[in-house]
Formats: sequence, structure tokens, C-alpha cells
Amino acid sequence: MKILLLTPLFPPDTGDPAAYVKELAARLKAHEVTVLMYGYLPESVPHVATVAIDKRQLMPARLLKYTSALWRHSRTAELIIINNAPSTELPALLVSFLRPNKMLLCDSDPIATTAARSGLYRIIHQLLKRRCKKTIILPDGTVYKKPEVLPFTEIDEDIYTKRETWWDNHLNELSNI
Amino acid sequence: MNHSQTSWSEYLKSELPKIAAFVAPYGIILSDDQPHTKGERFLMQALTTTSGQKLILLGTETRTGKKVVIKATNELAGRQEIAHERTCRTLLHKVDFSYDTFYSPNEIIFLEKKGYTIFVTEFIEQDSSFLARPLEEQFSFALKALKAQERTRATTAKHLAQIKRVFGSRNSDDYLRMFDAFLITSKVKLGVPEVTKTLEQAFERLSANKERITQYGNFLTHTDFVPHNFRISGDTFYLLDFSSLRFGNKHEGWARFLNFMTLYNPVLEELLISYMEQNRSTEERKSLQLMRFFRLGEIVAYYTNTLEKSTNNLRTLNQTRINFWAEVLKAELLNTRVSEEIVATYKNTRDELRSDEEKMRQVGLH
Repeated sequence: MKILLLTPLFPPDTGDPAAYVKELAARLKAHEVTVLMYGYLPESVPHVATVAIDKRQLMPARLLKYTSALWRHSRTAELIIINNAPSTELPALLVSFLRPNKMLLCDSDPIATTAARSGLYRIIHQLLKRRCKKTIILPDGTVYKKPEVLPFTEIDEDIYTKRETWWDNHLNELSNI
Repeated sequence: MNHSQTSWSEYLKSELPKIAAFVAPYGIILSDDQPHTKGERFLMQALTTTSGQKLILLGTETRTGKKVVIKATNELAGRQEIAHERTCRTLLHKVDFSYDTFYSPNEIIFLEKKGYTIFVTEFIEQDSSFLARPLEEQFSFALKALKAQERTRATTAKHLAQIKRVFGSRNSDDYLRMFDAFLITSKVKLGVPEVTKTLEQAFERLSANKERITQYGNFLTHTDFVPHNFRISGDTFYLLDFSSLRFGNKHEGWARFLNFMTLYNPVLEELLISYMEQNRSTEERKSLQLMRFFRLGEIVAYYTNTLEKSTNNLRTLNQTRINFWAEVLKAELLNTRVSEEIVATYKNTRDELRSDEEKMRQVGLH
């Protein structure tokens, strides 16, 4: 399946969605994955194509470029996974009116989730939610995050097991849309 | 005593009474013993800052009996550096995506009077120096502080306009240009072919991997992140030097810290490198290595520049320092660590050549 992942952040940028999207892209290796992000010189993921829109431009210019790139790449995409942020949701909403791709909204950034409770962003978020097949809210805490390997801390196998189980379930959920 | 040392003692003799008079009306008296004016302090134009000359003095607030730190100067570059540091300190605590891990000592006085700039802050007492702490604590504090430095990145036009101007910035072109200058310093002032060859190899590696330096650019990094620039009280981490904060490659601070630990705690250096290899991408590990090349080239050039200001034992010591840091760079180019024997031999030579005053100045510094 051709999957397009939309994200506001990707490593080396930090922030919650960055690490999640990189991990998700790597785990979707059985599919043809393209990540459309805001950033510059992203870290590479084997077998994953990346398209980076430079954030150093003024906001209207970068939104326009992101929307334009989304328009081009959505042509062949069978599933679009949108990580929540005004900068990804607005382009996704605009493109969705013209091209009926199968879309999924993923609330991977708690800061954006809070911001979506008011103002113009709330309207964009609600409209987009209605056009998506499903909305997934990532759990609080660290269950899906990669545990750090630290020299004075024993590796807790239970954490790794729970994490793998979470990812297996998450990938199943995505493939069943 | 050489010319630079003589000038320094005359400078101290004339400046200390003036500074004492400036702070006295605020109930501050200078301490009799001023460790930061002794030893090799006269040679120190900070490695990474704007190199202004300034005095760092200790005093006491008579009202509370608390110790204070006084930074003072009437030299233009030094005044700019103190004012810049204060601006960075203030901005750092204002920006919403900033270093929430770091605290700064409370400001007591900031004075600009009769051509002098004087900045007084509280002195942070710590239970023990960083290097005297157990290895586990050193690792934990170092990692926490290094991670905090990775949180602030100027990525949007808005960030760049608001913040980068205050802190200053370096991009991959700047790093290459600066390294080229280190190389010229080595060729012109040192003239040791082996050291020059090592620097040339490092320069080639930096040039060939320019994109990797750019990839991790625009982070707010502390370019002089070493134990004498921070203090730990309880669980609170205080940053002392804010003038060395700059937007640049995020591994500049890491590299400075690791290079320092090559000499003072190689086990901690290894642990932090292992952490990076086990938890971060290969691209990030590469970027760290490139920044270590850069910072090692900088140390070699720094000590090369001190040769003309030093004589006798101190000159021999600085030549030994150049050879040692060039060895560390040579090992790093091969992605290995310099041997324990080389570190031990260097330390013995250094301790034999250091003056008694400098040895005293170093006690408990790190």
C-alpha cells in the first residue's frame, strides 16, 4: 500500500510527533511510505522517501509549499496519515475537498491537541476529523516510545514487551482502516 | 615573570581598589583571596566567547554574609561580553521553548558607571565539585544538561528573527572558515608538520561532511559546557556562563564536554559516547564526531596562540598541551580514544610544569 505520512516535526527536530513518525515510518517497511514534513535535512529511514518543506520561510509560503507537495503526493496515496498540527491539518483539509483520499488523523502531539480546543484551529480540526475515516489518540506516557539504554539502569524486558505489543496493535489498527 | 604576567599584575593592582570602591556602597566587600586572578589566568582570553578581558572576583554581601561573584571590567570587549551575557540570561528565561532545566544564580547588582561594567550575582555553594561526585551522578547530571541543550532549535523564520540575533549563530560555512583559520595558525605560528597534517585531515573530513554539520544546526548550544561553568546544589543545576550560548550545531556543547573528559574522566567520556551510539541515529553520532574534530582543532589553535605570550616552563607546558590535544585529535580521526598512557604522561608533565599558584587555582575548580 502507498502511505503518505504528514507531520509537523521529524528528527533531528524534537517534540512528540517527531520520534513517533520516524518509528512508524520504519515499522511500515512492508509498504511504500513517503513522509511529508516541515524541516530541513531530515534523518534518513531505510526504504522511506522524505519530502521536507523548509520552515525558515515565512508561514504563508511554507503552508503553500506544503499544500502543493501534498497535492502532488496524494495523487497516488492509498492512505494519508495526518499527525495533528495546524500546519498539517489545514493543507490536508484543503486537499481533501478536491481529492477524496482515505485519511486518518493521529493526535500524536499533546500540545496541538490542547490547542485544538479553541479558536480557528478548533474549526479546522473538527472539519478535518469529519473527513477522516478515523481519529487515533496516542496514549499519554511512554508506552510506544523507545526506552533509553542507560549504563546504570537495568533493561526492563517488560517495557520492551509492552512496547512491541502496543506497536503490533497500532499497526493492526492502521491496516484495518 | 614575562611581559604578559607583569601587565596582568599591574592591571590587578590598579583595578581591584576601583572595583572595591564601586561595590562598597551596595554593601559588598571583596574577599582577600581572589583565586580567579592567579596562575595562568593572565593568559586566558576565553576559548569560546568574544574574548573580552574581565575580572572574576569573589566577595561578600555584608548584610546577609553571603558570598557573591563579581564580574567587572572597563575594557570595551569585556564590557560588551558582560552585557551580552546578561541579555542572554534574561532572554533564556523568557523564551517559552527554553532551557527549563537550567537555573541561574540570582542577580544582585548590574552597574554601568564611569566606563566600567560590574555584574554581581549570588555564589552557588555546592556539596562537592562535579568530578568528585560518583560516576553515576556525573553521568546523570551531564546527560540531563546535555539533553536540555537539545530542546531549543531555531527552525522557523519567527524564531530566527527573535532569538538568533541575541545569541549569535554559526553555520557549517562558519565552522569550516574557523577551522581553516586554526590550520593557518598552526602552519604560521607553530610549524610542526605532524600537527598541521592532523589538522589538515580533520579539515578534509569536516569539508566532506558539511551537510551533516548543517543537519544538526540551529540548536541553542553552550559552547563552553565544562564543569567550571556550572554548579550543582542539591538537585538543581546552575549555569554560570551565559555568554557562551550560541545557535549552532547541537553537538558543540557535547563535543567540548567530551574533549574535557578525555583528560579528566575518560570513563564518563566512554559512557556518553556509548549512550549516543545506543540511543541516537548514526547521523547524529557522525555529527558529534565532526564537532569533536572542530573543538580539538580549536584547542590546538588556542594553545598555539598562547606560545608568544608565555616563557620558560609555561611555554614548554603549552607546547606539551598542543602535542597532547593533537594526539587526541589523531585518535578521534580514527574513531578511537587516546591511550591511558598518553593521558597519564601528559598529566605528569603538566603537573611538573604548572606553577604552584596555578595548581592552587585548579583545586576544586572542576
